[in-house]
Amino acid sequence: MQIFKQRVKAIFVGIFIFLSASFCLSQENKEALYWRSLENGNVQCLLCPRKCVILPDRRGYCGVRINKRGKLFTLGYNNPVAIAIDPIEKKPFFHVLPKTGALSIAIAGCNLRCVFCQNWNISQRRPDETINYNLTPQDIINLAKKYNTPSVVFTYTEPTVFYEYMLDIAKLAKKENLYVGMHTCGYINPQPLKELLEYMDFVNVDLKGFSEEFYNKLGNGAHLQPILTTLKIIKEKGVHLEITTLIIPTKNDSEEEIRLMCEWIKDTLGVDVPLHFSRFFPQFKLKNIPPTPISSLKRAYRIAKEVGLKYVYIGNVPGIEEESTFCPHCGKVLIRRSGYSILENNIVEGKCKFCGEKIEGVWK
Amino acid sequence: MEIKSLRVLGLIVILIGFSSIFSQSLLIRELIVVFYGNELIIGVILASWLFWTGMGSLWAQKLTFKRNISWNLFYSLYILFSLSILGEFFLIRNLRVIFHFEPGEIISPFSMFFISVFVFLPFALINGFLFFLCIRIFSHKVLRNSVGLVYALDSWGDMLGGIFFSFFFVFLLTPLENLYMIFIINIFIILFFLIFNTKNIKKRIFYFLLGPLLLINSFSLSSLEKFLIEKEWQGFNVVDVKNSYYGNFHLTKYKDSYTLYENGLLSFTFPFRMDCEEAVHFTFLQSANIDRILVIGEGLRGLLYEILKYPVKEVYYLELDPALICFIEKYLPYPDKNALYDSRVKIINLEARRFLNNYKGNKFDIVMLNSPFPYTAYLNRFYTYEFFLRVKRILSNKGVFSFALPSKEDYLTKEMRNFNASIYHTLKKVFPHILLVPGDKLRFVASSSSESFTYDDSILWRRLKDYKIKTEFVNKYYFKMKFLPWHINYVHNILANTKVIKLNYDFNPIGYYYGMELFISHFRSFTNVFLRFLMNIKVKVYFLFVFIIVAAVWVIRKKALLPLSVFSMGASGMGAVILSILGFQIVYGYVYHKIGIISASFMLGAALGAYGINRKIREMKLKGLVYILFFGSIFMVLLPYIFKSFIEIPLITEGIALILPIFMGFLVGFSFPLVNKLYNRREDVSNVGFLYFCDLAGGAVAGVMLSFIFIPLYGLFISGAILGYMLFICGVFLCFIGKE
Repeated sequence: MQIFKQRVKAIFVGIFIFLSASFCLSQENKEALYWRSLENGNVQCLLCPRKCVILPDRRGYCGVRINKRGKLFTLGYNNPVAIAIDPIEKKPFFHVLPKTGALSIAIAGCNLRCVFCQNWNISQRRPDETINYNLTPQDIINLAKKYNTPSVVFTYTEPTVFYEYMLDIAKLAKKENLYVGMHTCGYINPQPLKELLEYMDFVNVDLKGFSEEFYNKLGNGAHLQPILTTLKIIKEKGVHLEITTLIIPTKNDSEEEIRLMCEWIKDTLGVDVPLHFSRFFPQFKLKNIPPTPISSLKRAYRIAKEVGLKYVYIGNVPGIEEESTFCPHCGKVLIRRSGYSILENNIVEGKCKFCGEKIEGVWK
Repeated sequence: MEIKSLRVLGLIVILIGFSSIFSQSLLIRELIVVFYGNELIIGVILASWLFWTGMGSLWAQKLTFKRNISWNLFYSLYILFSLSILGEFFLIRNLRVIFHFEPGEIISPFSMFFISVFVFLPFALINGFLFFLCIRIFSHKVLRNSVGLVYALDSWGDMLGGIFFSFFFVFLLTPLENLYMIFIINIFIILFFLIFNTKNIKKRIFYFLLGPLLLINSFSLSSLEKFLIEKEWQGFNVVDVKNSYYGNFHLTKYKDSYTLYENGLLSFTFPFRMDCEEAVHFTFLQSANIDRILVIGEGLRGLLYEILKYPVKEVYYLELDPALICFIEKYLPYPDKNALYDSRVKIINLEARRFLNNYKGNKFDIVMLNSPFPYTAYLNRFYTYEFFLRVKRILSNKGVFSFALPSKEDYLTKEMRNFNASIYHTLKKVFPHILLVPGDKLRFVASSSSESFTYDDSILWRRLKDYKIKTEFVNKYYFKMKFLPWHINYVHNILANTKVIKLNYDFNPIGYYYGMELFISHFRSFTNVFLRFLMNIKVKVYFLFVFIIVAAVWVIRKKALLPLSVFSMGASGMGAVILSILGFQIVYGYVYHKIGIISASFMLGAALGAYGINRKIREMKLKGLVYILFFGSIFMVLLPYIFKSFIEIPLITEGIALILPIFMGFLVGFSFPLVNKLYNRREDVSNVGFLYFCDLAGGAVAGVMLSFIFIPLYGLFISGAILGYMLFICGVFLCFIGKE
């Protein structure tokens, strides 16, 4: 019966959204946040570390923010390209509201150009290049309430680029007692991040590699440091944080680099931060690298455990034991997972049911 | 130092032609590896080769105009020619390092185009220069039709070079050994003449010692080749390499995984149980019967092992290249190797279309297609209406056909929609019931009956349990994860409602245009916009364009119609080969050496034509050229129709199909010296460089236009018609050239 209800819900959501789909409307009249005027009609965007100086009628690196008449506007508002109810585990959030659906939203665009992007079909597009829905922030909240999803999650692409839309939805969501989360690359400046975190309950940050060289070469000129700053700020603000690293053969899978990263996480963020090592599959431009061997993922898992991180996971390998959560104190299985399915949940009021150890996360 | 003997000179011309095509065939294969197997660019590579060869000839004409032949120049160029063969090889092997391409990252169309246009410049330029010099030399020694003679000899050499490389040396020697052999042969010829024509003793000794030194050096080739492979494949641990007829294989090892690269492109990784389980069980659990199975490609990577978990009776496994199994076998995990030798498995080294054409046995319950995606004209043939019909013919009533295409489950870009929808609707025309499983690969499961089709994960899980099959990944939770209703409905609705789309046919292979578009969409480039612009051009615009150009030339300078005719013949020659190869593959399937025969038959025709006119050239006038153009026009228009008519009677027509291009080759070979005579009003060679340039430029333009625009967008019939029309219009306007 449960399954039947879920299916019916999904079909209705699909029909509703499909019926309300429309082409992207120009959003030039939605003024952006975090920018300043410069001479000669130029503007500088202050949203992300790229700090693009944008000439009149031109866009920033992300392709979403545009300078019109000496003002910066966002093209990413009210026009999500993807909207779905996904299991929260898919995001991946393993320490957040297990076995619930998350209303997942994205607008096309990204401020990185990672050659291995797993969602390149929308992240490497601009909002005016995709076929979008027309949904205001209130529409999003209405959807979440209508289909009883306890959370709204900004994911698939890079939520930073549709900051204003995300912020407005997040504010409304909090008024309606909905949880709000995002999956981000972390390439955002501290000030806008701090404002956003006031309305965030949980965040997953992609720590794609732990070297400047990696970000520079494979991230098309990005830098590692701003992402580390983002991680620290999230932690300081007390928002639940999970980290995902896509392990790519020959690129970021050296034992040394992984160990360095884990040690940094332990020393700076704490051992309670869940860390996901995700399996890479050939995508986008990095099509000639084979999928990550499972042994590489297991090795990364082992290193993270050796360093002392409490909650480590392997992603994109359904059914593997390392998908499950184990109590760091008594070692018993807390949440047994297979794919997106929860087979067993032994966390009660945020604690291990067996030994009472407090487990980091958002449990209700 | 003059070479006095005409026979020796003739042999040198043949050798130059031989070396040129031998090296070209090999170097193009090497370049495709650099581009990670992207065969889209072959048209550009060939076009640039032809273009620079023509430019070399033109340059030679301008440089040596009204000057005596310098034998020093000839020898120097010949040495440079020989050295450039090796130089090109080292350049290509280091391209990824020179241009700082990230290992594993596909190269943008612009970069591929830029490299393709310029990488063969040195070699092709020298080749063209040499060709012209040979004509000049011959013209001093031969009273008439030196142009035709050299053209014929060069064509012979081309033909032999293509045959020897493609059928023998491709797998006998490594690429570097092959090129070194060509280098040595040419250098030895030069050394021979230098030794016997030099009076200086010291120089003689030096030349004499150089030969053995070069031979000794050949022993270091294998370690040099190993070093080059390591450099080219930095970051990968290459454990084995093999060259076969169909391409080359590189096998890499990383941790406990092996990955096979075919022509530089990642073909598959093993062991990769998750992917194999998904491919097999998602298909098999949708079928009511599982007695007789046909697996097309990639069975050895673990698919056979999964299939044999079912109580199947017979598994036919088609693998085109027998060398692949021999190559991979020793690295396969034990269960997968065992599966190859299971008594139920029958391995057939035949291409799928050829197999389907000739198969008359019992029907299959399941057909699994594991071909690479339709990004080229060759691969597109496995995703056309005609191919699907053939599959249906060998399937039982409730039989199931399955394959996968690149996709996404959350959002399909416009290019992905077009690509997937074209194949979807083409498939729908043959199989009324299609089940879609979305993901990074969209799996199509099609059947004439939907009796067993279900998306219900609990039913699928029950079926799997009923078979008592043990799996590592696929279980009830896996089904739940993959069969998410939201994503299934999304993809299904998108594809079903994308109706403004062309269907994919053998002779109208739009599928690979959409595949090209999808590939280019990975990059933010002007090429996307340009492609879309081209797609919107009506075909009659091209006919109009041809008419305007020819008419404009006629108005501005009537005599220029002659080089334009050469250009048209060159274009049609290239078109004849391309259309014949594609037509042959469609009707008879792909058989490597037979494809080689098609190219060789064109060269043979060209040689015969050039030789044949030798006897007739004095009598030949403009009327003769006009007739050639008209005959060529009729041939080009009829060529695709001839292949289409052969579909119903493949057995008795295969031999004819192989030699069809001889006719066009003959016309091209016949016309070139004739135009030279008409253009110069005598048989001198003052403009032969320019005419040769026109010939090759025509071939170059046709190669690119056919590959990228005419064939994918308009199909084979229109492509033949455009080329035929061009010849026809040239012929018509030539009738009004007057006495000029």
